Amino acid sequence: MSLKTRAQEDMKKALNLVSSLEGENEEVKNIYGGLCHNFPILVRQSGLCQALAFSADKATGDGNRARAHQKLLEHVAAILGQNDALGAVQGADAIGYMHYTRRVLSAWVYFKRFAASVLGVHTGGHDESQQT
Amino acid sequence: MQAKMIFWQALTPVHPGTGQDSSSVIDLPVAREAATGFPVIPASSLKGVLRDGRGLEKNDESEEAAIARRVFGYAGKKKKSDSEEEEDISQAAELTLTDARVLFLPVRSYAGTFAFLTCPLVLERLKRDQKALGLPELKASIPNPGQTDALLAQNTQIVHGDKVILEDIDLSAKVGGADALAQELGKLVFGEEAGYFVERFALVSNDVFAYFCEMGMEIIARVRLKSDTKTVERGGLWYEEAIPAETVFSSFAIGKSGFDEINRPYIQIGGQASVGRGLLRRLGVKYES
Repeated sequence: MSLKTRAQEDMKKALNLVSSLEGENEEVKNIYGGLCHNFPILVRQSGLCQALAFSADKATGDGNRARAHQKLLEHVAAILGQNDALGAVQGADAIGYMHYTRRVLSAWVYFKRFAASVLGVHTGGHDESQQT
Repeated sequence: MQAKMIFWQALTPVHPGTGQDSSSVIDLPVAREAATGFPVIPASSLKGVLRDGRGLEKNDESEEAAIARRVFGYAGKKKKSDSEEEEDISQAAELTLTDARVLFLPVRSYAGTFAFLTCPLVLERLKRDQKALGLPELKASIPNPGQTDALLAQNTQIVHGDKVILEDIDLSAKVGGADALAQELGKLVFGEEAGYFVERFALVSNDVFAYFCEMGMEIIARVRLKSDTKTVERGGLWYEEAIPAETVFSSFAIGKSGFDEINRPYIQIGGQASVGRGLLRRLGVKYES
């Protein structure tokens, strides 16, 4: 089995997860794509706990926005190698918390890029040229 | 050759940019050391600002231009006065400047408003550089704090209960655990203003310091609006990172002369000068040429 870098694994995981949104309706894709751009900023400004709590609040219910936030939380958990992102972060000690923060930020670079290239969502809004 | 130590303190947020960096979630991140990830102001930025464009015009024969060329160097040719031929008037710089590395990082603290953080790695590197360059070394011992400890001066203002509460990290306060070090650093860097520094000083572990070097930067949102609708253009939202005000940097100047060129009360580095960003004040003693 060949050795792969963490960057390769992160990129592959991000591409698969973002691509899974292609089957969703347009509004879910747009909201999720916007979250891909904004979520790491929220982590940097408010910390991982607050960012996740915010998303968990928005993830309740059945609407498109809730669906997008549910997907976000699933993908954060996938980055951390856990089933539940909130549970993992809550259970970590301070050093673990710092590690989780770094892992999310490091891997999220690829989510930003693929949100633009796969879903056509850029900062400032959806890329209309990709609509069919 | 001799070396001088220079300290700079950010009066406003500073953005020593790297251009668009695809490895960061921030669109316009600050420059960082490759090995540590700590913010840094490149020496080339310092040199350019200190030179301030002097001596770059080859026909400028003023004394000021001559001094600037001698101190900061020059590469170019100039026509000879007695013929049409050009002569190479290039000269190497007499003064060498190093990158300005973060020495104390301000982090919001529940008590005392903010703390000045540093760590053993930063101080050991400073001490090593002082020794290598023939400068007086730090005398106080550099203790090694635990992962969840903050070593403080005796007269500290950043303790709440028995904790130093920094953003979302609570550290166990060890009052007096680094008092000698805080006093020495305060005198060395801030002189008469040492008190303002000492009461906020905290020595934390290398890992905690590295975490705040990543998470403690300012994030500034910028937008570009459509002229007709005043709504955000596609792709017209981006984020800039800045090193926060109060951060202290250390750097060195090495050479035979020209040290008086660094005796400025303040400099401005990076963009957004018109809105006051990037102001750094010079700390420490003045130098003769």
